[in-house]
Amino acid sequence: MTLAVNEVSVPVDFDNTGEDIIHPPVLMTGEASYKRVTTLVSRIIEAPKAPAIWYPCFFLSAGLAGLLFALIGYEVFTGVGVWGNNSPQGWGFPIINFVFWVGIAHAGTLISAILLLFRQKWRTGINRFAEATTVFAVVCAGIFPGIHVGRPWFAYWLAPYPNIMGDWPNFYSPLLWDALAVGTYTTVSVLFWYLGMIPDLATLRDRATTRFRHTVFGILSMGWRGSARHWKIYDRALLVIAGLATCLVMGVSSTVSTDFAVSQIPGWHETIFPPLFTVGAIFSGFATILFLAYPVRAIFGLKSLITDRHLDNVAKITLFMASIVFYIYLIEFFTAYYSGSTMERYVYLNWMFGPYWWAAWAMLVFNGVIPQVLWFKKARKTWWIAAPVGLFCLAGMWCERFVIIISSITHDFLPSSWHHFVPTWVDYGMLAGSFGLFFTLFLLFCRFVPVVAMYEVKSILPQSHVHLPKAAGEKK
Amino acid sequence: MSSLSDQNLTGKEYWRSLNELADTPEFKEFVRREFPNRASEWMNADRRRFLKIMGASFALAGLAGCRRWPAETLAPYAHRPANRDPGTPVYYATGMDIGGIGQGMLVTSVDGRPIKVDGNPTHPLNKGASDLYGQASVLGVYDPDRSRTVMRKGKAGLEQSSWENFSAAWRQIGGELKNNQGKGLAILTGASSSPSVEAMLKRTANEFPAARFYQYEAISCDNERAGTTIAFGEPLRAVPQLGKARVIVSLDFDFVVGDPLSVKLARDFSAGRQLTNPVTGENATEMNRLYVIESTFTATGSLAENTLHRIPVPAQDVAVAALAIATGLKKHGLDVPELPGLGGAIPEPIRQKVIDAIVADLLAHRGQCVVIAGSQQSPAVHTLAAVINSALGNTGKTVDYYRPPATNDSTDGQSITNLTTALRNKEISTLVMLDVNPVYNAPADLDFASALAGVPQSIQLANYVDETARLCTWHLPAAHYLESWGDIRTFDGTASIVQPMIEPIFGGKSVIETLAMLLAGAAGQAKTKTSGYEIVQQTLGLKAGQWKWKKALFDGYVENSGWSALTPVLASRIAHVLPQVMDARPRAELSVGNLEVVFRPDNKMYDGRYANNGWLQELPDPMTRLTWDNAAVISPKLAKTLGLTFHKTELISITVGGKTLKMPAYIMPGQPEFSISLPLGYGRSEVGSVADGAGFNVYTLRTTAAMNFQAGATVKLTGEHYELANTQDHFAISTLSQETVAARIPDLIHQATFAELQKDPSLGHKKAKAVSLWEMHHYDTGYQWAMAVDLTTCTSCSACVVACQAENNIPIVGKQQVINGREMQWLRIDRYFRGPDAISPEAVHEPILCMQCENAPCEAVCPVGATSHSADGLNMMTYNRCIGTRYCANNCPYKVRRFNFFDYNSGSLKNLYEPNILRSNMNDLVAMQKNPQVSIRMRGIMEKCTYCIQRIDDARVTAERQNRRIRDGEITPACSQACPTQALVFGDMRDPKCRVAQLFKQPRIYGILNDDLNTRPRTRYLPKISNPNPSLVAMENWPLGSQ
Repeated sequence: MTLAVNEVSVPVDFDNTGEDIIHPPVLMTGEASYKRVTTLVSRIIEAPKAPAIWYPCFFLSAGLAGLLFALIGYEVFTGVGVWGNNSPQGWGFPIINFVFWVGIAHAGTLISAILLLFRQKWRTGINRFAEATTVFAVVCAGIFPGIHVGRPWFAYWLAPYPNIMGDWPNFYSPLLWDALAVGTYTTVSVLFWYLGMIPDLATLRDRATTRFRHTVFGILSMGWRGSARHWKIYDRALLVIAGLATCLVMGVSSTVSTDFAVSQIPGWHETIFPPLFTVGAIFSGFATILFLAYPVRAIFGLKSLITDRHLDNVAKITLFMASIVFYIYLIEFFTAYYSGSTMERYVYLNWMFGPYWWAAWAMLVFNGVIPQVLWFKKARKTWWIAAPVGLFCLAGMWCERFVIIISSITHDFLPSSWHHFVPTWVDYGMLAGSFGLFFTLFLLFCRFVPVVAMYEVKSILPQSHVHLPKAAGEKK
Repeated sequence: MSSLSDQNLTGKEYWRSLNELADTPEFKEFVRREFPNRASEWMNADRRRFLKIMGASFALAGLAGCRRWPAETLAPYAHRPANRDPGTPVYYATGMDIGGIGQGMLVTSVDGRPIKVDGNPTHPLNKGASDLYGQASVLGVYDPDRSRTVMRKGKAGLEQSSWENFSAAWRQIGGELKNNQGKGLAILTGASSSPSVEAMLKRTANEFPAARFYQYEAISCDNERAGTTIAFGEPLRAVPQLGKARVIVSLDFDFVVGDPLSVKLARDFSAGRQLTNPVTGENATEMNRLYVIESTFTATGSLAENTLHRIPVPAQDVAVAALAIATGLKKHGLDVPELPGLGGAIPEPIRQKVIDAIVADLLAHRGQCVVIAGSQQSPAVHTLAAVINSALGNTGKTVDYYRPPATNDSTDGQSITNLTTALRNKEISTLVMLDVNPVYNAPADLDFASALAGVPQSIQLANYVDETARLCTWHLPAAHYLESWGDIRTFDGTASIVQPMIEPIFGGKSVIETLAMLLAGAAGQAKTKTSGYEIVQQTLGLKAGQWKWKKALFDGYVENSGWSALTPVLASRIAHVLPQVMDARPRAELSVGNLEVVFRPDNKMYDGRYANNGWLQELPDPMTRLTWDNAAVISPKLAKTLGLTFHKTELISITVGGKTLKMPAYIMPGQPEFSISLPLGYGRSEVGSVADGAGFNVYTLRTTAAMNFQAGATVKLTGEHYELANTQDHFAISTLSQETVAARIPDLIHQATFAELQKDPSLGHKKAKAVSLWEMHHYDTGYQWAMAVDLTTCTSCSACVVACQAENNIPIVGKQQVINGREMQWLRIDRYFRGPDAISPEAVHEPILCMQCENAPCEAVCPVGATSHSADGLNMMTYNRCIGTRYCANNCPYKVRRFNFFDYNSGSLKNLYEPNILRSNMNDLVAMQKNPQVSIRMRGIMEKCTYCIQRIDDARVTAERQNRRIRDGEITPACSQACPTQALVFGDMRDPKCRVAQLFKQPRIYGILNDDLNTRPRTRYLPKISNPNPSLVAMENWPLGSQ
């Protein structure tokens, strides 16, 4: 890296994970200059070509995304029978995927909004791409409820709009709450993400060397000039939306959980579901970042901005959430036992020892046990341990949704209606396709949008806070 | 062409199109071709085009004054008949015949289309109820796979021909035969109760004195005839009067389902078990008792009082059990003729203790008990039943005997053997087969197909181009009973007129019309002048237009046409004959290497004639819950010995008498260890698209020597997996789940004994006070619809399921969709086994339909409000509003909601996975059956039972116009209407005089899961009450099983 060095800083691979009670932590390694921040991030977008690995990844993802849309077309024109859904299992993979992606969609907002409210400075290195995962996961999630209905062309009837039928949706139904919550969340998270990008887009506009880029970024940055007045309004707007988004993080997953908690199927009818779903969502979101951050910073050379300390923090939160999730699992089993209801007890035993035992054990081991290695600093610092743990957590969370949705309802009240659920190739294809869509969007984002919030990183550099003590390890 | 006169041709579109159409060359060609042989050509056309062609041809035919259209058959609605409103259903009485016993039916016809068949309320057999065959028969009229034209054998198999061609050919063949006095002519018919068929056969015999007549029915009453001949010296028909019997012993007689008489038998039987009279509200003080000795677990077996009242024995040992009972009675001094010795100990699992208990019970109820024998049991068993009934003084009291006219001198088995021999000896030059399919169902050792191949002229009249048709020189399409004039006789000889509801859609002819045509042809006439209509009038001695004729048509039966019951006395030679009969088939020592196979009529396919009926194919068998297949039913112990598991359905190869058949094994608890049940009637892959690939043809193992059961079978595993479509227990159940099911059943199906009920009418069931967080809606105005289901009288015969399917336009979904768990029946009958082990468990049945919960879990969760509650307590479904989230179905604890995963109504079952735009629409013929009062549901929406809301609304409109309340019984949902035992009672629970309110008052009534979920179901259940013999109640402690 040949950068003009005007200030000596810590080395790029400086270990900034240590705690120092006097000095604030180093959140950017290498030369911590404004210019370097801008250059590091902008060159990804300004480079004529993406890193070599980007292309195969993109084409694979785009292929899978294409498969998703082809299968949606097939499903819409043929009928939802192309899935494995049946009676009693009315929901199957589409709703598993929906809940799974909604969960992933929580980390970005949580990092940006809650950590913003809590003044956690380290969030600046990862918040932009975490928010991006949010938006893309919401896109993936949002597809499924729409297409899972029997007549998708009437899905808009869920919206309370004045119509000549004189019909209004049923506000008692959790599905309606769900639609409203996810709709709001999508709006707010897109807004939040976009709003947060405006100063960076303006930077790109100003750095643009071609007419085209200048125009595109000019439009996208909405006339941002960086005046003090701009900044003042901007900060307030961001805070307000952060406040809203924080409520939504808590609200959306709770609402999604009411789809189950409000019903009366044993294994669904649980008061603990709102916290479980919220924590699970945050958990899976952080796991996603844990898993994605390593390749992103390696491919795009962002190790100075997404430092080990950032990932260490992400891993710690992942561990914390994993422990809560695990605790709730145990509580669920205890509650089932303690309820004295044979129906409840049977459902949980059937989770563990029934036909879908593998999903329940995967859920417990992947979400509860494996993340415990993150207690060790060595594990948190080693990419080939931490990233796979993130992947396990994701698999575990998908299995959790599988257990809740499939295992419970396939064995409900009347044994005569018990029936296996067997996913079809379309189910698997759509699951793979949703990952394809997510990564397609994510790879496009990495290539064309600033992956790291430049202006926010700059705000936490030492030179922005000259009155504070020098950061630990920072050389004079 | 004329046959489609009942199409609804109203609407401007049709008249406008006529002019356009009349000028096309296509149409001119169509008019020129009077008899459109290639009917398929236009049946494949879309509906609109179809109507255009139909309409135009009628009109032009009228203009041209075409003489070919018979005046009596055309009834266009140009001038609307008086009192006839388009779209308003009209009901006609008619009759149908199964296995030589007629049933009186009531047909609902809308705009000239019969759409539903029910039992005739005034008919002595049906009394308003019907069985699943009657219910499903209407679908047969509109089967697109039906035979459409006359076919003749050409160089490349069957070729399309016409009635004209046949008539011309027959004039020559028949004329020659007539000159020879009919030498070389043989006529084969099935069992028929029709007096007209009998008369026409007599006329044929007069015209062709040398002709031979044969009769063959795969499920015959040969054994009964043989048994009664031994007992009384003449072949008689035994008709049990179960309503008068307090103790009933069934010797392998599954009398509640699959028997032509089952409607009557089930009704009479349940009359003795109706513990609360719904009209008066009075409780019964006594209850009948049923013992069943049977060779497979049947629906009847599940009605036995407890596991000790049902003895699972191999079919060969039923005779031993019967003999043991007779011997026991003789020991007690009853006047029983000399009996052969039992020959040592009674074989397991018949226990002396149980036999003694039965004997004592019979003795205590002389003249009020009855022993009945199943048609597949040996003549010896029928003889013994007759002997026991005579000795107990039951004859004329609990069992009536009738002497049906002998259409067949020998047995059906002998008759078909004689025919085959005659065919092989080239004694027959012309064989006429009327409504029979011997190539499929004749005994395998006769090899009827090869015998038939050598006959110069073989002519078959049949509904389908079936196995026999493919080998004949001529195939003639038969008319359905709903398309033709005819007559039937029921069990006691009461005659009914069969009147057509629609012109023969494919120009088929009935048996009597065909015979008339053959007679006329032989006399050189091109066309017969006697129609079926006239033949029936002649035979019955009635004249159309007369008061008696009108009344007979209206009532559905001819008054006082029945025979009087006979009271035959035992023949004196019986003591000599009986030992010979008993020894005729020595008992085999059964073992794994020497198994017994039992051939049984299938509960749904009967002898195979309903193989192409989708409703019946998809109907779950009452016991096995199988659809779309038959399976070799084997005992769990044998399965274990052989190495079969519940986890995987395997094809087994069964070898008996040198013949081998591969078919899947179904492990059935309660099946005798070394006996295998093989349901007949499947494996008809050539008859139509529905039957294609459904099941295995068991007739290939059935020989003249053993028409009913045979020892000496061996079984080998093939290791090949086969997938069965089962609607319950689709998959292997773990031990954990089994225990859960066992623990849950007592909550789902309340059971008690009659003695317990007498002690405590509430059966310990405390009326739980429903606790709710908010004030519940009070359903205290207007009508409040509800249904009471009596589990004591439900026989699981499944007529209700088919009735519901017919009434509510419920589609079939095909085998693969059933495997996927997407069957659509709104009403299902759950079956659970209960008991300490799998050797002799009890089976309990529970019809589950929508509970119409007052606190419906489904309603709250629908995001678009497509399912809601009516003021009169119905849980309603708004199809148009439904977007198909399936949340309601998920949240329904009873899982009674059904989802249209595909457009099951359009296209065929085989192309469900094709995108809709590539599919053809609903077949026009199939569409004709649909009930116009019920919407056809498209894909992606939910549907469910609404207590037949269309019937409720009909009654409401009528009542409101007459300014009165709806009377009790004015509304009967389809299921309740079909039920022979009145186990389903519907009405207004608010009106204390209503039957359902009387039943709801009973403290024993309960709602499924109501205590758990407070759903407040409107469908409530009366517990299953049994009346075990006090000496056979210790079932919990009784060491069950033989080892």
